[in-house]
Amino acid sequence: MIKYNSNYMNYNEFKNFLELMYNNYLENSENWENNNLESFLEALIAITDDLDGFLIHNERKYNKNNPSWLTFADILSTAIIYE
Amino acid sequence: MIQTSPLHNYHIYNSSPQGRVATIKPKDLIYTNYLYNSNTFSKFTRVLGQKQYEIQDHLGNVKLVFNDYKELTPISVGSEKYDLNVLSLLNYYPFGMSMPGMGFEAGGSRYGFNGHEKDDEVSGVGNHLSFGNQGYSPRFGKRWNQDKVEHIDLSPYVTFANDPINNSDLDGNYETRVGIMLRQAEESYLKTGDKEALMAHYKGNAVGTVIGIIVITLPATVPLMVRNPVKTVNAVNAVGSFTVGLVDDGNQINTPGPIDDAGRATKGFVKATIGNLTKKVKSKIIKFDELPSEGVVNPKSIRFSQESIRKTFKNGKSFSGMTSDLKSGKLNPKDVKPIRIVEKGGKIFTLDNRRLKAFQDANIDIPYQKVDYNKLPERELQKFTTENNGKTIRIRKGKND
Repeated sequence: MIKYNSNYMNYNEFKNFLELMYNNYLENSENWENNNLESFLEALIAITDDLDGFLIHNERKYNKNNPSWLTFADILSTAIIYE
Repeated sequence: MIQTSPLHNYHIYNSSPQGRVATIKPKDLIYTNYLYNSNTFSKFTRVLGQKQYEIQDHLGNVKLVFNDYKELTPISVGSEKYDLNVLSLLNYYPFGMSMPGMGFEAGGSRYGFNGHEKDDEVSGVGNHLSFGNQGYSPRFGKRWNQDKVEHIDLSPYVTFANDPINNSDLDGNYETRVGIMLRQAEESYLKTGDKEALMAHYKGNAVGTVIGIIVITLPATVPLMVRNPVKTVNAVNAVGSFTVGLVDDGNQINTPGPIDDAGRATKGFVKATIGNLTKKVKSKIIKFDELPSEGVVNPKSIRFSQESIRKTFKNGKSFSGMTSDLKSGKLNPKDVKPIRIVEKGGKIFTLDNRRLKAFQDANIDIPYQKVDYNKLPERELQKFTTENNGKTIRIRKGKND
């Protein structure tokens, strides 16, 4: 479980998020739905494609055409579990 | 129903009658009985004609109303016959308007189409039915109000799922009496695993295996004709037991097929027949709060959380393979890990979209486990990407497409 602030994320927080994600993979990769590179990359494409739907259900201050570090954290985080 | 000696025999209507006793104004015909015991002298009076009986068809439509007064008709000296005192005889168009010139009302019945009470004062005799409190106009086939039960695939103004021959509207759920019985049998099977009881329901009292032709002897009634979008099934011999001849493209099928765990033939069209009946039943909308914490549920009543899914599971197997294994009986639904379901905005969503899709495609009830939406980890909430309230899900292209 990688926790991060869903309101705002700056450069340092994003770097921190990536470190947390890496550590989570090392300790907990069996719980990742997409724990190999092929499926993870496919999920990245999928969630990017489905981002409109993501923003319907998850309240965010950014939009698709004006992304922030948080956008990338959301995409990476969701790709872990996206079916 | 047959009246026996000393009355003459009258065939009134096929199948088992479902009587409802209604009170009307007493008639002047009085039958008096005296009862004596050691201390008192009592007189009991029964007024004939007060009790009304209704004969209904498989949809609960009141077709015939009669009372308990035997009408005497002298034939000749020393010979007499009694007639049934028929109060009304009704025939309906599919959506419930009574056919002009095809019936009569004398004394009338309070109940009519689908067994619902008539509100004749609203717009004339037989032109408005209460349908609970919904109000229904049999001439238009429409309710006054929207359907109180939400159906994902139907407009709230649609009645009988647009299929008034197969469906009745007992409670806004499109359940016929036969459908209710089959559903109860299926639910009981899923609870108890008593396959014999379920098969008895499918087969009625018929001896033998389910093959091309099945004989259903149901205690209630069976629709005289069951329409299926793909196959056609005709029921012939409408009295007592029902012989269901299975017809595909006009040809009768007599080929025996193997039977699956639920006692349904996997080949031929018995499955299609029963599936058709039960499918209608299963369209009932389920409320999250009314579900036990775990069990099985109709997959069509659960919504997808994601907008799209991959073709394969984590282990690399395709979910379409799971669908075909479920259909063929190779995979027992009980062996599948239950899907997690949550309530969001009054609707039921799953967090396990691929398994749900596999079960939806197989049209088999799916094991589930209730999860509290508010206790879900943030990561799982991020799965919600559906843009159409989870009604459908898009299958993404695989690497070989």
